[in-house]
Amino acid sequence: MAGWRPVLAVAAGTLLLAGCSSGSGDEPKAEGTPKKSSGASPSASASPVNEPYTLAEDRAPRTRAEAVAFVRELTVRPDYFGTGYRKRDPFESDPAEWAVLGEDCLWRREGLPDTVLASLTRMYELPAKGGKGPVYVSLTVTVHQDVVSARRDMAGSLEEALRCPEQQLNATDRVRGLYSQADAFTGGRTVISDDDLTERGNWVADGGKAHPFDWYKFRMGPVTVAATARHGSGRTEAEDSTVTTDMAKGMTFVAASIDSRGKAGDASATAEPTEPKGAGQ
Amino acid sequence: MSEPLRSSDPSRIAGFRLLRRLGAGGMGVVYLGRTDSGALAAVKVIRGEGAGDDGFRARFAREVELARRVDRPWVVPVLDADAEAREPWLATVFVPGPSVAEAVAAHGPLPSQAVRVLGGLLAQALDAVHTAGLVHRDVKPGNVLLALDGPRLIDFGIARATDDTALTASGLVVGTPGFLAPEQAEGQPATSASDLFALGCVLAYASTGTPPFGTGAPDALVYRTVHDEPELGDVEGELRSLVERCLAKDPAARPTADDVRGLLADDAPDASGGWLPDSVARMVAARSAESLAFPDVEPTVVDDPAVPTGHPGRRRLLLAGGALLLAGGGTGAAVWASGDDEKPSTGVGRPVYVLGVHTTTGTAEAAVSRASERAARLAVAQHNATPKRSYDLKVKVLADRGDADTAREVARTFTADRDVVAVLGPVAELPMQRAAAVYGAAGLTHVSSSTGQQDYFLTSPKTSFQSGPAHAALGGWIGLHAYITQQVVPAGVVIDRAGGSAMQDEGTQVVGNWRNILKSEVVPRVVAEDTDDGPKAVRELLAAGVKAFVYLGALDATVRTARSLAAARFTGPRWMQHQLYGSDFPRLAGAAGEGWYVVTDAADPSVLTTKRAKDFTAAWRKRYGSTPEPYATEAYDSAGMLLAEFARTVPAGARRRPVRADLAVRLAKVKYQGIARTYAFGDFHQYDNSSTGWADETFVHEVRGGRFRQLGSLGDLNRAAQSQG
Repeated sequence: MAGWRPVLAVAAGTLLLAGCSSGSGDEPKAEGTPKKSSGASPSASASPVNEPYTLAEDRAPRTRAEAVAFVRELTVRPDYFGTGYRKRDPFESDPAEWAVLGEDCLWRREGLPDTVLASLTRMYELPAKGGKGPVYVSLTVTVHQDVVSARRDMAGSLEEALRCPEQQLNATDRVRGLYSQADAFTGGRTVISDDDLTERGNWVADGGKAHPFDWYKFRMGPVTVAATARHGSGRTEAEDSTVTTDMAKGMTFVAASIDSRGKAGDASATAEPTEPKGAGQ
Repeated sequence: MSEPLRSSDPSRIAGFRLLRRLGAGGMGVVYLGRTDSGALAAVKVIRGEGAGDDGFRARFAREVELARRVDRPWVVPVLDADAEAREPWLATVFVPGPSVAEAVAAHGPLPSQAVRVLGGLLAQALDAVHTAGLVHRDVKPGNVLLALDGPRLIDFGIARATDDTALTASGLVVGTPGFLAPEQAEGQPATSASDLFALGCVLAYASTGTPPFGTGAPDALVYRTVHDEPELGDVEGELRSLVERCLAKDPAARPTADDVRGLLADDAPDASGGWLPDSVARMVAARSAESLAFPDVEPTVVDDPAVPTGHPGRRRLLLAGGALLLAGGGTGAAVWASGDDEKPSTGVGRPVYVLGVHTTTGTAEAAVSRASERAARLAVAQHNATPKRSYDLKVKVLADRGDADTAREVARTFTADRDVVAVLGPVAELPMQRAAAVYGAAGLTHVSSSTGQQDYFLTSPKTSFQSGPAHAALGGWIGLHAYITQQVVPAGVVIDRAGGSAMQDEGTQVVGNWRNILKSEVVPRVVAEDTDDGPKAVRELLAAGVKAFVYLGALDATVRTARSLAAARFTGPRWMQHQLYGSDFPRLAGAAGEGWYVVTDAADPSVLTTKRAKDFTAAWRKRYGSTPEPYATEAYDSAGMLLAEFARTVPAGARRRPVRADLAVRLAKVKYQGIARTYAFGDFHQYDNSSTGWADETFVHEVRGGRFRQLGSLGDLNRAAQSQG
């Protein structure tokens, strides 16, 4: 029963924002979406449908080392985002840095602030095939020091889209026309995590044509999971919509595994105190 | 404030079931009654000598006739009367509020601003009475009742014991010593000027807590009234000189009611009670709440006068009060259903169809839920008053608890009832989204007039409609208001997420419009929920030097922002989110709230000049004793639209029932002229704002004088600006 949530939520965003005029079915399909009860918790299968994926603060990593281990141990397979995705090279970012949007609306990687314990970005791509351009997906898991810091981070993300409707992702890529929607779980609408944020816009690479750009972000207690998708050329509206839905589905797999780790009590306790580069910063 | 009926009391007078005794005097008894449609009434029954006097009956009949012509909000309207009955009677709308006498006795004198409002509105009332050819003759603190939206003058002119002249045999003067004019005391006929003298006494009493000619024996009071100067304590300034003029010994020297109305031209307060001191407003609210608990006594029980009917008992009272607890299905949900007040007088063989009203319990939605229910009842009552109708209508109200389960439960209850032909609601966002699927699956058409999120369409693309604009649209219109009124200056916009997801919808548009269309600077701040970061964001924006402020958040946070901005002496334009229209903001923010704007589709029809708006306001006032509250107009329009289109789906021949699905097909193509706007639906069955009409259908309200005042539609303001420019 848990499976319908992501599909409906994503469909809602996609449909309304794209201005599509056809209605979806009443009962979204459950196929291909993670089961809420797949975790180790014996109570998970009995939990009500209307419960968000979350991570209790006291089950979350408490030190930078624990946090780095936590984000590294999360399995995020390329096919979470759909058939044909593969890892990009480089695949992972430095977990002691994260991306910050400057006053000049340019994204830069900077050292983590005190309120963030670790942040790891992984990069994937769906190679160009059959006249359809490549899709680039990035997935970032960030462990904040507490729930309040994570809440502020979500608000900050919403503010960024308002502050900078045009953002420079890197030397060549710009996004523009970002439009945000946010649904906190407490608002009672169909959501996946404690707080679901969806932004849609366009991205342009170096004088090329504009293509759809998605930015979704979930919060689970003190942990945020964000994903972006830069769509390539040559897709119909429906095909672009599928890319978006698949990306959100992949995020939901990640959210589900964070949720079940918290339920199993291994989020911090069993994390190996590895000491990767920059973790002690 | 009342006592049980006695065994000697009738159970019913004409169309009024009698519930309680409100009071008794030399002339008869005043009862609390209830009409068949559920409205409370004060029914005065004349007993004793007066009832047998033909002269009295003739005067009674004439005065009732005149009183029926008095149509002013601050005069309690006459519902019905019978001068020919063995015991003549008169029924007026029942006002539960305390009198000025009770309020002052309990909480002391009223502040001068409240006295000004009181004076201005009572002068309006007296002007109406005088224009109708009546003289009240007994204006006194006990005859002025307080309601949240203003005072009510009761007990005028009619059904008094004696004729117009002189003293009675018992030595008591007509009217009330201490409040009656010198000429009345001297035995001359009371005139409209006498009422003005009494008004002066009431205002002095309300200001100081004591009557201007003191208290004590009637003879001494009369003497002082004729010979002494009034004692006005510390009444000051303009109000003092006005009261002094009213209290002139020479009737010709007093102002007319119209003069006083003009001098105290404070506009009517809103329905929030903000014009009253908090303690008195609470007293008024408590009385209103008590009146809701008055039982419906079954006529069959009380027909036998030997059966005492005073105490129906608590259980009975709860049931009779209209509340019925329905156990929900497997979910364990429960919904509250209020009784069907509209009991149409079913003609022989005339079918009865039901208009459902899907409301929500809880304080945030209480006002809009109540307005929706009242709007539906008015619309249905108007249908049932049509002589040539081929069917009757009933209202059925079910409330969810704002959550998904109970919202669906309510929808299932409505859809399972074959007599329910359409539903007004749901009133709240989440119930709209969730119940839509149930309505859609059952093919039952419903219109929500108070929600602004549109994902209902995903699960119910055929029978779900939204007659109000999206939250986002209203955000865009804040910018338009700024543009029209030349208030486009660098703005700070705070989206306080604790206010719900509508804040984001509305705020995104505000920011986008400000930057891209108005080409002005805008600094956005998004405040995380449960962090208390709002005040910091406000400080930062002030430090950034913004000249306009848009705070989109919950009521408490917006009030706090108003206080912060006032403390910082910020005087630039300020807007709040549209859902706070009609809220307690003016009262809670006090002086700090003055000047705040709200841009909303919700109209205050009582200040509109079209015939439609006036007729609606009058009908509402007649039925409910007040001007239509916020969101009533749109709910009434939506109910009216549903019923009008439903009428076209009813087959001409008897025996065939209308097909549910037909209504939605019609509604999707409707163009319905409402009170203040034309309704049509877009591709998602949403309020269609693609045409140009919306500028005249979007209203700007400003907090002024402690209440929301409608400045006009965006179209009005634009035309005004153009004619000036």
